[in-house]
Amino acid sequence: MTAAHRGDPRARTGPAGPPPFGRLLVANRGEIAVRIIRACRELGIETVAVYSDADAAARHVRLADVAVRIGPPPPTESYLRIEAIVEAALRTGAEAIHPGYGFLSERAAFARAVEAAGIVFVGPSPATIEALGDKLAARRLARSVGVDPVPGTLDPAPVDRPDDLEAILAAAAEVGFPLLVKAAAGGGGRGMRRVTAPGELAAALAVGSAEARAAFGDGAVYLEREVRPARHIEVQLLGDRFGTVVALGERDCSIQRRHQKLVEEAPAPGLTPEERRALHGRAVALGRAAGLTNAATVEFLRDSAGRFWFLEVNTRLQVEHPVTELVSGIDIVHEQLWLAAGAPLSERVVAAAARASEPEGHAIEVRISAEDPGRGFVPTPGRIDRWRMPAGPGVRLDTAVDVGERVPPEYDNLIAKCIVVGSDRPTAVARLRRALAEMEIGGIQTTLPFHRAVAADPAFAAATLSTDWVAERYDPTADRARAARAAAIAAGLAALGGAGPVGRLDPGLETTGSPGGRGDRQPEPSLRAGLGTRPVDDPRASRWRLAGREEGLDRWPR
Amino acid sequence: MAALGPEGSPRPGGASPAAATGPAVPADPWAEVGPAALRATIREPSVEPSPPPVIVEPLPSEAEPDAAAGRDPAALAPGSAGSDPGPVRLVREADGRRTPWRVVDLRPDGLRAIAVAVPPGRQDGAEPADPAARIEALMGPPRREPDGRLVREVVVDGWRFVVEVEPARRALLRERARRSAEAASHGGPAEVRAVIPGRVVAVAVVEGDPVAAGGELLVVEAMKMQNEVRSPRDGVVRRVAVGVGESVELGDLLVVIE
Repeated sequence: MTAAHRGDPRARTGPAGPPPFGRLLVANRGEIAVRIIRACRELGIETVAVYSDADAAARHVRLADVAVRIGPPPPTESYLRIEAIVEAALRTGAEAIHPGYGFLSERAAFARAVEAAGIVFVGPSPATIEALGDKLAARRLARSVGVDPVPGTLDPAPVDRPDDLEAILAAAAEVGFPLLVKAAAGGGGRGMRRVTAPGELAAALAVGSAEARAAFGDGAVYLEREVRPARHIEVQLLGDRFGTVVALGERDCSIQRRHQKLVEEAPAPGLTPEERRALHGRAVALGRAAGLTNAATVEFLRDSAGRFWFLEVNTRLQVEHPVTELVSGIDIVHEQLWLAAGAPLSERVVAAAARASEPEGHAIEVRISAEDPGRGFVPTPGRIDRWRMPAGPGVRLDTAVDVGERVPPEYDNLIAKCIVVGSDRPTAVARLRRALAEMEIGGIQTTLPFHRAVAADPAFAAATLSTDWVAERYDPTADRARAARAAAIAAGLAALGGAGPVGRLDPGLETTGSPGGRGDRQPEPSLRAGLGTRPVDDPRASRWRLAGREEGLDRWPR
Repeated sequence: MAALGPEGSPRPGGASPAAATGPAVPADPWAEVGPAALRATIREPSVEPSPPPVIVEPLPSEAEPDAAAGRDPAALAPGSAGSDPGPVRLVREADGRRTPWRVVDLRPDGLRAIAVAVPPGRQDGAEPADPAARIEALMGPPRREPDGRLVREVVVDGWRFVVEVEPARRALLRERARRSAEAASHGGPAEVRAVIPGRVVAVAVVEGDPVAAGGELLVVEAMKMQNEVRSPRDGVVRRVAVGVGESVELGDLLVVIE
């Protein structure tokens, strides 16, 4: 039951015509679920949200036309339950399922189960997901179409035969040290081990394989050269069911920490149109060889000599897709939906792809996460009690949270993506600084100070990008100590109260100096706080209280 | 921070004999505090060394720079001409710095404050060039603890802190009491608290277990990251306050080691 029954799939309808689907289920949560629901609304598609108990009041649930509970908070009992999601789609009459990113988005078994239920999976075919999800298979496929994978091995290492180390040691010597042991089924750095000398190889293979087996149910590992220094550059592909694959442009995602991207931009700075054309051409060749339909991203590393090495393919929408949207003018989620319904690539997309080697404009995205950059980026789930996001020219804000809401500990800690676009990179960097200065978040520590440091960094402004940027250039100690001093001074000044504006801050502490003195018997100040010495009928006093309610201060938890 | 205007310079008619301290700081820089002085302390959720506290107190009136300069105090409040500027306060820091500060701007909701250091002899209302002499702080609503301390969140440049404010003299008395109590029962119980909110996924000890410093006690998981909680010292587990599967908030008691 695809949308093809809506007419000739080659004839795409405009805003006035029928939408690609009548109803679509979003198998995700957070900002990406909101992003997909927005696209559906724009196209006239009804949406079905699924949610765990932790998300019963989440924004994607409130925005969708229908919402279905699929289980308790742990992902394995909710967002990763294939049968529960397919059943929710059947029960609500959804014609298609968009998986977003993460969760089930790159599980061929999910795509297969969706199609078996007669529902359209918005993404590449299960066969393509499977072929490219096995990184060794993807490396071999790349080699077969003349795209160089990162130097390394193309077959699984013999981890179960420790007596047979000679061959793999010889292969390792050819790859060169330091090298990485990587999981063929891997992702997110799991199963990955860094090996600096031949003597460490046997142990790294065993541990990496065991970790990969535990995480992915597949212990196959292989060797890959560690390319350092490197830039991470990836190409956005779109493909239709008629064999056409195009590149919408590339993104630079070099600013990472432990293989987690933190800042992404489009286009990749410093490439010539010829380099772009060659890079896009390689990605398209690989996508075509894999029979790619819908959307995918081909990732490369660029070494210091300017050579590109194929890393892997992600067969889904990427977190950082908005930077490509802002530069290409193409709404990638809209296109995904049309392509999934069987439409050919539109003339707009083909024209945008033709322009992609000489892009106009520059976009940068930063990922605001519930993590503490002052303490090694540990997660900081909790309640957000202040939330003011930037706006104005060239600023796009993708988020699903709001003031008064909790960031649950069960899921990814990305809480907002701030994306800026300008006519060129310096304009975009200046706009990023401006936007981040407008951002106010309270209640939890976030990565906002990290992103301000990136935006203020001269090396970043000069587009000197490297996957080692965080390790080499980021030390928050001094910045945080300076802020701590300022915070203590501000709190002290506010608490001292007195005449003038300070008096509005606090009721003031009793300072008789005697422990247990009158200060302890003051009435509970929380409601009076901020009124200070002002009479209750002062308009400023009532405005403060109103603002408190509006910002949810007394609204949560219910 | 060397550029901080009046850093280290003794104020005319300084508040106390200790006012003229430079880098040579007395053993206890807080020893001489006025009765109206408040102490502001950053409450850190972990065991790492905390930033030093500051003491804020009213300036003795003869040291008011406005009075000394004979200027209109309103000129010190950029962007709020005509409104009442805040009084100048003396900020004392652990390294001996003494700096006059005032709040110059405040958003109508009362939850954002801009304060500037007031350089002596420069009362022209100009914003200080040195970023360390200007503070823009987002202030959370204050709440009072049962013991009288005022606690609020303060966010500066995206860094979030929980700051406690209390009368400086009372803070000193309490700390002396705590130090003497610690000395009396050397090796008393140590409380291990949660440094991240999350879910307890494993507990490695039961009551009565001997533990070594650095030994694993339990594991708290949040957002796919696991925090292995280790013993701060050698001892015996006196109490395990949480069980596997329980949710814990920042600062919750996990284990008591004796």
